[in-house]
Amino acid sequence: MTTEAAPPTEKATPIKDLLATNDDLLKETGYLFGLKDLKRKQDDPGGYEAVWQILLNICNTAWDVGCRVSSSAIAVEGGDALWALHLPTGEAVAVSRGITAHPGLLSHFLRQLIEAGYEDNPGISPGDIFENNDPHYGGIHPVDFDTTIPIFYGDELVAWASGVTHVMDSGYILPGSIGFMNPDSFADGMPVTMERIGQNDQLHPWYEKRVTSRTRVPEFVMGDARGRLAGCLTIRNKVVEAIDKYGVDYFKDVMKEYVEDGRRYAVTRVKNQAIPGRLRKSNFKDLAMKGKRVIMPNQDIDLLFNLPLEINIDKDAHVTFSLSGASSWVPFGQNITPPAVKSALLNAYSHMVGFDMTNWGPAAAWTLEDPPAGSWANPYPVNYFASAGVAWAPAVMWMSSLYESFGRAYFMRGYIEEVAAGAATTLTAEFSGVGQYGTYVAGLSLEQASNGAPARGMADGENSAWCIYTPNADFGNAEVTELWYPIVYLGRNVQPDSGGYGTFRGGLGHTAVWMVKNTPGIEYQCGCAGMRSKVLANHGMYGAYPVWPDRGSYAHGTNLKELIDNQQPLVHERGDPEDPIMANILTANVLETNIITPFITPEQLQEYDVIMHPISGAQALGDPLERDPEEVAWDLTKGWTRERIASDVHGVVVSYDEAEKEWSADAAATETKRNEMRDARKKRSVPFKEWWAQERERVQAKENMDPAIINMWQGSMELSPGYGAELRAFWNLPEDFTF
Amino acid sequence: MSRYLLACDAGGTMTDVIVVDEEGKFVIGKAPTTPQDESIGFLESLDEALEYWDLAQNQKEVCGSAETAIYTGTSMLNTLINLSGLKTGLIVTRGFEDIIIQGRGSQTFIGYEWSEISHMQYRKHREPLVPRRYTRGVTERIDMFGQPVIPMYEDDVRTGVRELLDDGVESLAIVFLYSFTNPMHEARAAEIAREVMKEVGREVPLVLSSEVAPISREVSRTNATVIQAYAAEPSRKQLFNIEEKLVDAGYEHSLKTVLCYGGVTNIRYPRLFETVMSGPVGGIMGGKHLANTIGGLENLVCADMGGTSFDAGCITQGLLPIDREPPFQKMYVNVPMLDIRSIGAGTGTYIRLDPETNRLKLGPDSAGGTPGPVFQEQGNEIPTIGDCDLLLGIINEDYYLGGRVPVNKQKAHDIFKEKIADPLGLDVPTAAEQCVDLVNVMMREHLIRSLMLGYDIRDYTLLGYGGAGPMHLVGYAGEYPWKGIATVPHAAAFSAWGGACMDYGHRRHKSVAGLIPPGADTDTKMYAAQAVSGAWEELENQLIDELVGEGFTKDQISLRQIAYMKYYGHLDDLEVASPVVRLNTEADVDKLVESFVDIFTTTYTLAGKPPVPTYQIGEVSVIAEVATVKPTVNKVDLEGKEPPKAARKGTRPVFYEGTWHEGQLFELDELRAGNEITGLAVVEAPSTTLYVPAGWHARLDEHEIIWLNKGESS
Repeated sequence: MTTEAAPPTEKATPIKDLLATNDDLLKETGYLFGLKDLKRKQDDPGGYEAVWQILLNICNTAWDVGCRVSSSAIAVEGGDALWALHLPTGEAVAVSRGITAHPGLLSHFLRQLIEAGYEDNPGISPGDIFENNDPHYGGIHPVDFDTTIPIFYGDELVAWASGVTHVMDSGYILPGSIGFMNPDSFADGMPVTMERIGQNDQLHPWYEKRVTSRTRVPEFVMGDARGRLAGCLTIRNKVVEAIDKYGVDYFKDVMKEYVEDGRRYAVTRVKNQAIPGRLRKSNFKDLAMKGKRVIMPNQDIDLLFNLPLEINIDKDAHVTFSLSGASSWVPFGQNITPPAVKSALLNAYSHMVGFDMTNWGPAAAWTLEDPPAGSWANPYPVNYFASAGVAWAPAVMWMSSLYESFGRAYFMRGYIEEVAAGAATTLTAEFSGVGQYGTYVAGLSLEQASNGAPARGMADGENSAWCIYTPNADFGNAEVTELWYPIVYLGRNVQPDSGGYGTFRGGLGHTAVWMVKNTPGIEYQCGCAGMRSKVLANHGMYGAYPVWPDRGSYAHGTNLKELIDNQQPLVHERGDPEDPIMANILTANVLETNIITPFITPEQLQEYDVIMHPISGAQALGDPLERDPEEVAWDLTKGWTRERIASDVHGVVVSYDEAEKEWSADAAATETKRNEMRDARKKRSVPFKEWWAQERERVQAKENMDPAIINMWQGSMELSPGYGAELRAFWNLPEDFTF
Repeated sequence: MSRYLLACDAGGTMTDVIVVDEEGKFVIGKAPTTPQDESIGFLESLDEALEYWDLAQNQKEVCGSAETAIYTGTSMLNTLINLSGLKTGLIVTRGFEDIIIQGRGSQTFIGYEWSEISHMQYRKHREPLVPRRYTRGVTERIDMFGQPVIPMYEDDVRTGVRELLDDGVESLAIVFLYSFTNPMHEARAAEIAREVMKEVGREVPLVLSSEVAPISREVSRTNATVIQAYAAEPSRKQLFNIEEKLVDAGYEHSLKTVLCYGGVTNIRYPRLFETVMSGPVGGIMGGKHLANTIGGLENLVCADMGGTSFDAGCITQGLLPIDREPPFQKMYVNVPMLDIRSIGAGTGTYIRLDPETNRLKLGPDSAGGTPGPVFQEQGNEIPTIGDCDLLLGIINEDYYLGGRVPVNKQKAHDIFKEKIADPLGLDVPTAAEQCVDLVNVMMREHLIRSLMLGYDIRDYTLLGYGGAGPMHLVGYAGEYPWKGIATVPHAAAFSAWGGACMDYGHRRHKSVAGLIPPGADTDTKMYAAQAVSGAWEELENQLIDELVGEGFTKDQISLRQIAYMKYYGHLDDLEVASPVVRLNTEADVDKLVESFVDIFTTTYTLAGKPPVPTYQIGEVSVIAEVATVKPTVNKVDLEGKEPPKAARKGTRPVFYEGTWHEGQLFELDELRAGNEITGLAVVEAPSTTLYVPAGWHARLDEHEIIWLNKGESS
């Protein structure tokens, strides 16, 4: 390694000052780092791309190394991990594959570290290892551990390497990593608050001791820590090699140019594909916990979140996002911080706007207005101890609106193939208890990592192929999951009709059916990492019908063993929700076939108990009466829909060919039926003014309004006075009206 | 009449046949592939090859003197692509009837780049080989310990098989969960299926997952089993047809084909699905044979650059790289396959500017050989890497593919200038050189970061081949400290040559449960040892039976034992060649563990090593090989360093590092062993071009291998 010295001026400048300068330059010039011209790119476009390829490969090498060393199935098979290279001031330059929300969080963590004066105290030295999982300081939720190490060239800090993994347990009040039940931040488990957890490339011994005493599966949590560090060290070593080759000045210049190019790329994509103007989307998420097992008394409640989204695209394609109207923080682990919302936006951008240059740059292509203080998206100004146990939960639902809204903008411009009609919900399954090896086990299955994909502007969504939080959508093999938890799969088939109905239907989800086995007892959490309870899940686009809500099932104290011994029919699928198979097959002390999710089983489950876990389908696009009748018949043949849906929803008249075992549609009869259905729709409809007048009376009288609804509107109007005023104006309500 | 070896590689477009005589000399013929009857392409290509030896009129005698004929084709691949296999019925564990249709999410983006993976709108499941209506569920379950926790409902099997036979299925596949730990349910289901077939009076091929791929991961195992049931017999029928035609032509032995993991087998081999993707095998096996023959090349990186892709594999200590769950045709498949990693990079790789960022983008798509680069004037008007090679003066416009293909250099120049150079604000040669440098970096990064992860390249020789290999070899070797950088005069036909270089070999894998916890006592270690040794013995017996059944004697068969090991909790294991044949003692177990730890610490950083480790052995395999007749690698007398006058072809301007240089030109066929060439030079041959940049030297050694090195000549 050479020790080429950096120019003294920049070397002498504290990073904290560089950060402030960068902020000023962006404000003054509109370009990151004031880079109006990308000189390295202009002078040597081939070299610019070559070094970009090298940096990407370095990050992906870190992924390979880190994942193979790491322990969490969710990190490695589920793809909930990422490694990145950053500027000294924290901005992510190049990132590995993985969850594309994380570069924002890692960048924010570094910014916090710099702004907090770590350069002076405790100082930043070669071999240092810093870590954070605390949402108060840039983490999203405490199961995501963010690790970073400085990269020095000679005695100059030239970059940072970082890595993040989602661990199986971080000591939440309940086992596992989806802490939707956490009542406050004190239930959020083991904190690592912007700490130096190691030096000289070695983790401090007290770090491992804390993991050992404060998490339930420490060997796996430590495996992840080693994986993150191994990946970071890989980046550091390879980057130094690259600097040796290309020179430190070139490296420092080109790193900044990649970030600014990322910004330009995002701007240009919006400019080319969308239309300027204002897009708004109302969206609500509920959390029905009243009467269920909870931890604190104030959690015995049904809640409704307001998840409003407003997107303004100006003439220069700069995008502004607003959450004005967001409802109040909640006494569950479902609050998120503004930096994490910003990172969630990076995730959504990487899926819906630009796919090619994932780094910090796009974050400068848009502005996130401060979410209302005290809302679920910015809780700390009002409640500093709000829990972020599974902060993604409301954010992913909000991002679903973003998918749909950008889809509309693209559709209007004619880019119908770029449309995504939303994103499916995320319902997680977690187990805890004594596993099949006689040791304690706690962790998450991978089922939720592969939902149905949303409909596109010209095609159905794919089944079991997409997940809003990771492009690595995959639920893996049942035989692998069975190695981790004391369960035996009885089924894992496509769930018919689980996607939205439309001209192009949503991709279908599936149902996992598990028999508890080889354990003295386990607990099952049907957790909310971004799902709804009673409110219809997601809307779909342009006249499509929404996806039905997720419903869980389980049976405790069953006669399953007897059925097996007598070779009677068992339970392998949910069947028609209106006539669930489980109720027809099993007898049990507790038999729940339609539980409003999420929930935690009140009982410890024993051998031969049955769990039926649903995985969502996604949103549809267009009127289901315009779906190609032959497609409906083909779905029937494949078992993906039911005859009554074909008839009552799609208006398709079908017949079954016993010999060919195929359904076919009668085109003429279908047309007649569809015309009748359209006529019936017209008869049901009322003029908007009439509907508005009737509804206004109900709103003003708060007629039949559940307390959850009233509480939500109260919070929204109080936290966002402008939103409240607009709401009153829309319904022509008195100025002093409140819910 | 001499004895011969015939090896045929039928690709999607062309069929290559290599004929090797007993002195190791060889000729290669080419003819269009004839998918309707691949024997036609085989024999036409053979004729063309024999013309080089003026033996075209003696095809019958040559075939009669052939000791071995090896055929590698695309019939099974085409069967899968065209969905033209047997109508297959699938019997699965009840509740998993959608296993083929649903697959895994990650199968929808197999082969995509990350930017494409992020782009959800691109993903798509493949058309299932077995439609849902030809799938039947059977209530049963074996758990992870091999215990039958739900007995098999035999009536389900009876009913399912009968219904499927009534539906006219032509083959049956049976896949039950965890059958690899205990195959009793699958075996019993097979008995019942046979009974039903007898009752119905119709026999169809029956394939069990526990027999063809007894490996964990049900999706991949199901795919493997279904491919065998769906495509093996139609493919075998084609192979029999080729064998028949060869016999008609005088050939007196059975036809052989090539396994995905690099070995030759009789076309009667039961698990024919293991031949499903043998196309890229040739190059690696050629490299292995070269290494075995001349010595000193036990660590070898084999890199093949053609018109479309850059394919590379890494041989370590003579062990072939194996991927046990390779992605293939949008499926993960439990079939051991040579781990050959590819990126879209070749002379046909398109060069574009991103309209949104004005960034230079190479591929990943390609104009391939047809329509090929712009200069070929076959309809492509997007500049390619090959066009850059021409514009830089590396490709000879008058001698492209030996002068057989006309070249329009002006057109390549004009289109490249308009679409690439001018928008970048660069002159044509500078822009062309930047494109070539970029593709070289992409290939180099592929080798260094992906393929060579954890390996020290100072221990490895880089062998470059493929039509474009020698032209870019120095570029993609870069300045990394390879132990050596080499190519061969027949680089363009090296894969075909490698097809003739394989041993007769089979390989079997089996999942096992072996755990060695911290501080394990002798009993615990020996418990794991018994599981491993028992599985090795079982696999060895199966392999010996197979090979003996194919006519070999036991003493001809060499066996190698492999264990797949990891630290407990890790998800990825490493292949460990066992230092002992059996784990008979605690010391044997320790030796195996030591081998694993050595490989782990080389592959990953020390930070990844658990301080209190539990070792896990999840799978074992055995490789059984029988040495066969292969081409010899000749050793010739060395002549002087100075190339003969006949090899010199004058000079040509070549653009390098920003300026034009007068490059020395040579004819490859006229060079002699011992000759050395100093760059900047271009060595031309009808099928390839070797580029020696300034500061580099090329030396032809006594085995006629060309070694490239930077700095002083050797």
